[in-house]
Amino acid sequence: MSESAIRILVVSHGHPSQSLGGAEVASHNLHKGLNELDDVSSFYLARVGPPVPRHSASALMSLGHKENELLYYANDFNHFFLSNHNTDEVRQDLLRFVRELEPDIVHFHHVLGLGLETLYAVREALPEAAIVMTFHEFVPICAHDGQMVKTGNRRLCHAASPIDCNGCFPDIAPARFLRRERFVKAMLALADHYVVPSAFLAGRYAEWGIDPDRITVIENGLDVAEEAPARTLTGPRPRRSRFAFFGQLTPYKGVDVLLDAITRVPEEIWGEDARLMIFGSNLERQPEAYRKTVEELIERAGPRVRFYGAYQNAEMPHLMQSVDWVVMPSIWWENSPVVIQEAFFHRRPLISSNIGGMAEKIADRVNGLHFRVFSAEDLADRLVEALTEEGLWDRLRDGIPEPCSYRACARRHLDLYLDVLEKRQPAGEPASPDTVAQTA
Amino acid sequence: MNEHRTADHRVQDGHRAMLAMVDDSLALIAGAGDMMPATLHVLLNGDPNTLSQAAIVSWRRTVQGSDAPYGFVALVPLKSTSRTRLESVVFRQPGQPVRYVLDERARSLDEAFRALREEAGPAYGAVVDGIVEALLAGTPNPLRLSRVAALLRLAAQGDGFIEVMGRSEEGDVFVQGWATELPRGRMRVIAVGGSGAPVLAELTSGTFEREDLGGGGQGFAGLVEAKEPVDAAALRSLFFRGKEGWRCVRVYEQRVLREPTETPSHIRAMLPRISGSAEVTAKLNVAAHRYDGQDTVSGLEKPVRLGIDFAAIVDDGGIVVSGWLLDPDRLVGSVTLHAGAQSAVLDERWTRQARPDVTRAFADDALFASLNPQHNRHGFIAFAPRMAEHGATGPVYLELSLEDGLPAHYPLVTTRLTARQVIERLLATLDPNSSTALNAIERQFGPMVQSLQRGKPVAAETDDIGAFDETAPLALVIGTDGRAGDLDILLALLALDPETRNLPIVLAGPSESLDEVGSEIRRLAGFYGLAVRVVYGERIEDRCDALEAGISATKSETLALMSAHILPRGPGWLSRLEAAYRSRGGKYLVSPAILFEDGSIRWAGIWLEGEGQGRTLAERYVGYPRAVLDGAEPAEVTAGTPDCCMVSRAAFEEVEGFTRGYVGSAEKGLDLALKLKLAGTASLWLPEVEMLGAEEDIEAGAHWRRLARRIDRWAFERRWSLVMSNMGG
Repeated sequence: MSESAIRILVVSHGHPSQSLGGAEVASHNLHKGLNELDDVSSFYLARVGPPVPRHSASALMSLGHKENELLYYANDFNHFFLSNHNTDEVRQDLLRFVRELEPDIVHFHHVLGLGLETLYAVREALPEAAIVMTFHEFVPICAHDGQMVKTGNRRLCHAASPIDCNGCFPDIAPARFLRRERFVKAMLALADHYVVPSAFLAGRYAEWGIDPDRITVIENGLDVAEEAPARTLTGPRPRRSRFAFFGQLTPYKGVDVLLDAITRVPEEIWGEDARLMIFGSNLERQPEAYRKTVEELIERAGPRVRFYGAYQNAEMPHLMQSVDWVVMPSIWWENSPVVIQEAFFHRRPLISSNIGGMAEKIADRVNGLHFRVFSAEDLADRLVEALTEEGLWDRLRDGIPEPCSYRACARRHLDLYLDVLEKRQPAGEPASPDTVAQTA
Repeated sequence: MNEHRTADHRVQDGHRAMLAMVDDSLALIAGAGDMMPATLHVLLNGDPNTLSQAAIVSWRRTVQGSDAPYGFVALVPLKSTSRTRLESVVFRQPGQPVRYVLDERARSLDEAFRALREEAGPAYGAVVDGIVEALLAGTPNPLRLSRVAALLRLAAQGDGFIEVMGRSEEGDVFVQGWATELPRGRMRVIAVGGSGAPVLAELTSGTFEREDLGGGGQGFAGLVEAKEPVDAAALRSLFFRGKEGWRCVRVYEQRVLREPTETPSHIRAMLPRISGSAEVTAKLNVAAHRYDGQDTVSGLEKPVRLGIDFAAIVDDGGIVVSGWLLDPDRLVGSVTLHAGAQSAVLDERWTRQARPDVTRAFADDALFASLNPQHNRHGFIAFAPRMAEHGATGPVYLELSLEDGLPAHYPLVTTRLTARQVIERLLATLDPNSSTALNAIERQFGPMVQSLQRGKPVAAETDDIGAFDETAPLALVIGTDGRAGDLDILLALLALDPETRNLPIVLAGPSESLDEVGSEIRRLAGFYGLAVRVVYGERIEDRCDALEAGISATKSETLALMSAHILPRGPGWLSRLEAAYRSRGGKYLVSPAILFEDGSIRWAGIWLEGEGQGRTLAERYVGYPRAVLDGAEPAEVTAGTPDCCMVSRAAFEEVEGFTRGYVGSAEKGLDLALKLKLAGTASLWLPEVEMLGAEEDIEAGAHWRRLARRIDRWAFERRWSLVMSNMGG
């Protein structure tokens, strides 16, 4: 397979202009990056759903986007089995398009909303193409929003099994979890190769049963034009005292831990200049209990915290200008949050929980600080260190690695694609699923 | 000698006698001569072999100055049935035997009777009496009885009419009317009616005043009973011997005929007016308290009450009754179930149950002051087999015999249920480990289930999706009992496995549950390109039934059977099963190992263990970690499992599929494997192939499963323990 005119279809479960998740951004950046490479053309297909109105005659639509981007309306999704019940439209609309496009590579960044059946349909329709799948979290493994955090007590989960999963969802029998596992694994086995943005995720999927030889770690690429300069320090005793949180205010992101930590920093250390800025939204969509907790904590934190609401990705450089430290208090494992890459790009050290992708990407005392996950006390100690330790911020800033640009990321993906196409089995035979379920 | 040389029908005098044949073994001979005693030895045709004893009636003739002053009629038993014509008869009178020559032409009995009526004159009554007695001697056969009827029709005077009759399920008939000479009390009657033979019966009756008879007669009411049930509708007349001779009471054309449920109340209404002996009143009283469709238990002034939870007719016509009987003073002698003409005593083998709710309900009832609050075993479960094979032919009710009184009755409303439904209903009240349950299994559930005769599950409707080939050499048959969910996942997995995606797949289950998912299955089979025949089955209660219905919908020679809760652990299972099956010539039922969702062993073959009488079947390794299977070799086992196996269709059909008499599927599957083994198809366990069988919701239905298991164990052991103790390996 020569390099000339390799065609890629990138499939995402949402378009970044409509939904603000990291996976949407990453997949779209990949698509952009691929199109900037020679002899590569990429098409972007994103799922869309209500409240966007659909066409009646077809599930395909566009929203005034570019010519190489298309939306696919899907709304008949079974979350538990990751299954799309509208297989008629998959066959009719999606497949027709895919067959016409004739991509060499179909790269799925999610099957949420689209359903695992799309994998099957694409495999059937394009026996010669290679299918690559990127995992951005643990959705195939974990029915709790793909977070691998237990329900109820929010304890971290290390491994899935039908009986353990039934422990989190007592209404769902282990038999159903077994079926979910079998179905998801068998469908995923149709793909040729898997990409993950962190070694942590690679480890989890390999433990789950994906063949480790088919997993490649590629960091998500960033598309940021210019580094935001460091904040100008003013005042009599200038210090790096501006903390920021970026992200949705879901319970997994741990903003309650952060707010609690803020209130524990003694007044004399917090002083007048320190501030926590929260750039994020959707508190009103969270479960009531969590909302109340957060609202109480906000009260207690008083003037120490300020809310700046939702933000567009494009605003990041501007927002970063007023930020010294980025705090990531997530209570779930995190994979490779784009916020980390963005903070690194703008050379802001991070303070994060000590688990998962956060612990992998951020080196404690090298380019950031770790605190024990869940512990507001420990985070408070880190905040105190950040506010009091001389030269800490500069040292950490120096330790920040160069993040991956979206172009470099696309390049690495292309190398992978070519590799996979070479190894691809003859047309008509799907990748042997035996090798997938090693330890199943 | 008088010369009566007139019509032939007249009795000859002196030396000639008239002959008429009653039947092959009795002759009627009439003549005149000297007086004869009531019995005499006679000889026919001078042949000493014919010596017999005749019954004789004599009368004084009105003829004056004859040397044959007495007329007689003799009934002569005939010893042989030889057809030699009777020519003469000798009466062995003490002193001088008398010989008569018999008329050449034998008369018809009717002619003879008429002649006798003329001859005997006022003595005719006695003559008739004598003949009737003789004819009724011993156990008269129908022919004799019809002869008697014929004579009485001629001889009996009309005495009155029967105006009202009441039928009963017991077979006796209540009669009411008026008569002049009918005495009270018990008497023999001959009931004549319709086209049937007359019946010798007994009438027990009393009398009552009737104003409309103008003093000429009395009302009567009583019961007519005979050895066989009396056909009231056909009854035309009753003959009885009154003071003055035989009389006849005819059934009035416009008579009223009451049904069995109406008769008792009619008798009850009449009783106060009827005069008769204690015996008569007692008999009528019993009849007046028969079942008439009313509940007479709930109103008893005694501390006896009855409640029924349900009464059901099960598959083979047996009746199950579940309820409670509150009888603290032990006044109830027995409890009998009636269904039309059938009846069965229930209280000898019923199973009693604790019913504290009943004790509580009656705690404050003054009538039940003697109720001990500690004693709660008022409930009962009863089963009477084959009471109503084609539905009840008459009213269904319970009869409580009360030792110090008349019986009380309780109507039952029956529903038609399957044995399984009955057991499910009773389930809530039964602890499978209790002795109550054990008794119920032994006496009620076990026999009920064991005798199940209901028909085989059938494929009521089939629906093909894709190009389903019913003659393909191998078909995959999936059975669902309607409770397994997510059939769509199973279909997806079958589609993803290249070995199964091109197989004809039969998916069979109960119509109701498949109806709900039918369109989903169609969508998925279409999307995945599978060839599926959906079988909407009837009479499917478990997954074995479903498999059976599915098998009937395909003609493939080799069958891969699978229950819907089984999932493949990975692709390639089918080819390995098939290789093991074919390499042994298709003469085995081949089953893989089945694992639980946590990787422990769910099924690894069923093996016979123990010796002799104590031999049992055991499932090995259940719950053990799957590592136990490493290195295990294929092995012949006592039984494989229909939950997942490959087997030849011919072998399955030869043993007629699954045996019906079980409520659950575990023993049913075992039974099949043993039947196959006896017929030459042994079971093979193939440990190298592993399938997954996740436990369905453990809590729901656990209670049922335990009870059903015990019942099936009972039925299974009844069928197989002897065979197993002699079985090899």
